[in-house]
Amino acid sequence: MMALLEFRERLRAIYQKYQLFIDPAVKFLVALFVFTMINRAIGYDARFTNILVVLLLSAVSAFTPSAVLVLLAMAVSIAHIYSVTKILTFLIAVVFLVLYCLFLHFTPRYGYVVLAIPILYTLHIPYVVPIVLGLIATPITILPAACGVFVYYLFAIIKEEAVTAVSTSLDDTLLLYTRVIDKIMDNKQLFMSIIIFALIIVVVYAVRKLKIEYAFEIAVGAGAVACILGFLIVDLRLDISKQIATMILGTIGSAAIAIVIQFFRRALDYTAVENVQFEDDDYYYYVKAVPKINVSMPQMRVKRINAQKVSDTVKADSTENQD
Amino acid sequence: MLNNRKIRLMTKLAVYEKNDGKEDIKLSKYYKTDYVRLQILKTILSVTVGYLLILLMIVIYKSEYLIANAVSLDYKTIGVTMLGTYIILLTVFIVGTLIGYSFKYDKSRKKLGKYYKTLKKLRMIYREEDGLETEDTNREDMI
Repeated sequence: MMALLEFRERLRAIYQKYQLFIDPAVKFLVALFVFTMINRAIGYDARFTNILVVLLLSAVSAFTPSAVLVLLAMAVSIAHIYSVTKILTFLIAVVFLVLYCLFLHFTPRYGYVVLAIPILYTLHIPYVVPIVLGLIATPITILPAACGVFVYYLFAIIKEEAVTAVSTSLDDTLLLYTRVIDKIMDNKQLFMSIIIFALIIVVVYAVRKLKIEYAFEIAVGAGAVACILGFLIVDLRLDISKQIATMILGTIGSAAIAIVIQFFRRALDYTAVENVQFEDDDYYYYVKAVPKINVSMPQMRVKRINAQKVSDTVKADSTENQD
Repeated sequence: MLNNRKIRLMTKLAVYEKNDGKEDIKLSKYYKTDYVRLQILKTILSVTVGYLLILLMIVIYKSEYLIANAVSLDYKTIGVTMLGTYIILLTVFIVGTLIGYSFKYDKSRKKLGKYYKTLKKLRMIYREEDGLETEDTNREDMI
């Protein structure tokens, strides 16, 4: 454990030193990963699967706020669908607008959740999102999480349909549209998944708010158990027992990732170096504020005891002198 | 002369203003009722747009049926159902907005309290500085 803590401190020091370069680099890699996953899943339009375009889009996302990445990813996926079927593009655009109007505009800070869930679904570890949200946020994040699950299933259904959609007349277009909506409405897995994701967020949030030791770690465990039990019931009821093994492994993996994130989160949360500018009547200030690392706490305590002793002895001396 | 104590306070204020403070300070310009009312208006607008888009999707979905039975449709029932759903939807969202944003406002006010305390300290330092500089006091007297 001690070695781990030391490793965390070292990592924190490195991060503090090179934050200016690490932040865009990480964002670039995440964006690259996102665009690659989108291209692999629904890469119908060759223009966007071009590696140069992908690199360019990732570079743009690296230096802009995370909302830009979400928008770009949405635009790219809509463009991919557009090259196959126009009516489904319309459907997706309208669904995105509805999701934004009814749910997402209440939680603008968590827009990336809608992107993260579908992407992590392809890696079989989407459960990490509700667990982490329960740890770091409030239950209001159920809204973006539900939207994320919905978007994943929407694209899964559209991917199925897009194969048959290449040569369709106007009559078939409408048929395609109704078929996709029918499939969404009949998809019990979609609605049950939303309910279970909401349940995981609530369980993790409730447990981590308890005033007990290791609340965060226990919360992750409780979330994982809720996830496994919930999806087990769903899988058994819907008779898709093939997915049970991947689900359990995915949940264990997600819980492990959540623990790792939790371990580093507290360190990194307060590590961010702030560069601020301000002025008063006489000067302009360009201040770089570096948060202090508080591992030296025990040392400070030792110092204080010494100082007290010194002052005690001084006092004793002075009283002696007075005597 | 650089005043380290002042710089420390100003840095703290600047960091807050750059991050959380941006929104908190924007919020502080409203009264609570005004703020919540504005958010409710926004919610009404977005829910209306969202609901209209859902209706559009339903109309396209049922378009064949609608065109075939355009004459014999019971428009009154359809209208009542549409309006009823809209009102229920709106009520749920408005209540949610009311609770959520009142909560948010109170929370941001609490954070702002700390900010004002630091500002007060800064003002004290300024006053101390002014006390030292006789020129400034003269200027104040002139004003």
